[in-house]
Amino acid sequence: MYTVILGGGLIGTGIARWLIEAGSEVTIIENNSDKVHLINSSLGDVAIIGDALKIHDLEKAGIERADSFVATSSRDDINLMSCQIAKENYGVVNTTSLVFNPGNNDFFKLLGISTTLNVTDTIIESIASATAETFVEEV
Amino acid sequence: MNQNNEPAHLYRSRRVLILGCGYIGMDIALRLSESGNLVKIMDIDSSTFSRIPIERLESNRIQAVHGDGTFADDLRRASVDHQIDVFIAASGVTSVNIISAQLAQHIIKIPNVLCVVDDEDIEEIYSQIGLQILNRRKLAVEHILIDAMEQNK
Repeated sequence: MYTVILGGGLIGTGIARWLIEAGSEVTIIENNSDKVHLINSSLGDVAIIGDALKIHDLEKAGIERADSFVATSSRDDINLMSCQIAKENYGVVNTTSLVFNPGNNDFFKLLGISTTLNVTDTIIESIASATAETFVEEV
Repeated sequence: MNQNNEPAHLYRSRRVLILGCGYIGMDIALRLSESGNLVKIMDIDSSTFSRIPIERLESNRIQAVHGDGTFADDLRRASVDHQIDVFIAASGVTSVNIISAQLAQHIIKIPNVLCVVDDEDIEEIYSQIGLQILNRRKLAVEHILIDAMEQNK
């Protein structure tokens, strides 16, 4: 299994570490060269400097032979577009995207993104359930 | 029916929603409102609206809408009181235009959607999945070449 990941932040790097430990091959595309150097010094040479909305950089990451693509940037527009390029132009079967605007969750699925994670609602629900007893006064 | 007894729909002005009150969006808004169309222009940065000529705003020929074009709710709010015929995603950011144009097409269901991009690969990919794409870089080059040839005559 080969996975290309957009974004070398905590989430992208965390997913890469988990996949590597599971015996999978990964490449991270990250536009910040400092982050790329830090990732490569801790995980081995898995990250490249690039823009996941540019065909040339996706191809440098080996998108043509990828089974999965995971978009972990903090912007819905960039996550959607990179997943669509991976799917429509390179036939990547599994596309996964973080979604920050809850209203976009069903929309991404409608456009054929295989898996979406509704980050905002997930965080709100976790906080609500963890703090319910603290903040909600019992009548 | 209008005064000439012609079918009204042939003469009905278009209702256009433009995303991005930058150079491209603003120019399109001015031209379309000059020719009698009703234009709404949306931008996430409301300070850009100060560039719109005041008489266009006062006469309601251009309406400024403060909103985020990557949010379906904001697009819906801008199109709910007028049935929008045409949506033009003309912000300076290609990925913003791409998500916004697809929301306009698939969720808001605006009949005619145009999307401005600046990359030939992106133009090709999205044309293939049914989006009407305008490549601003290519259009600029074509215009410059046409002008250059005219001057050589």
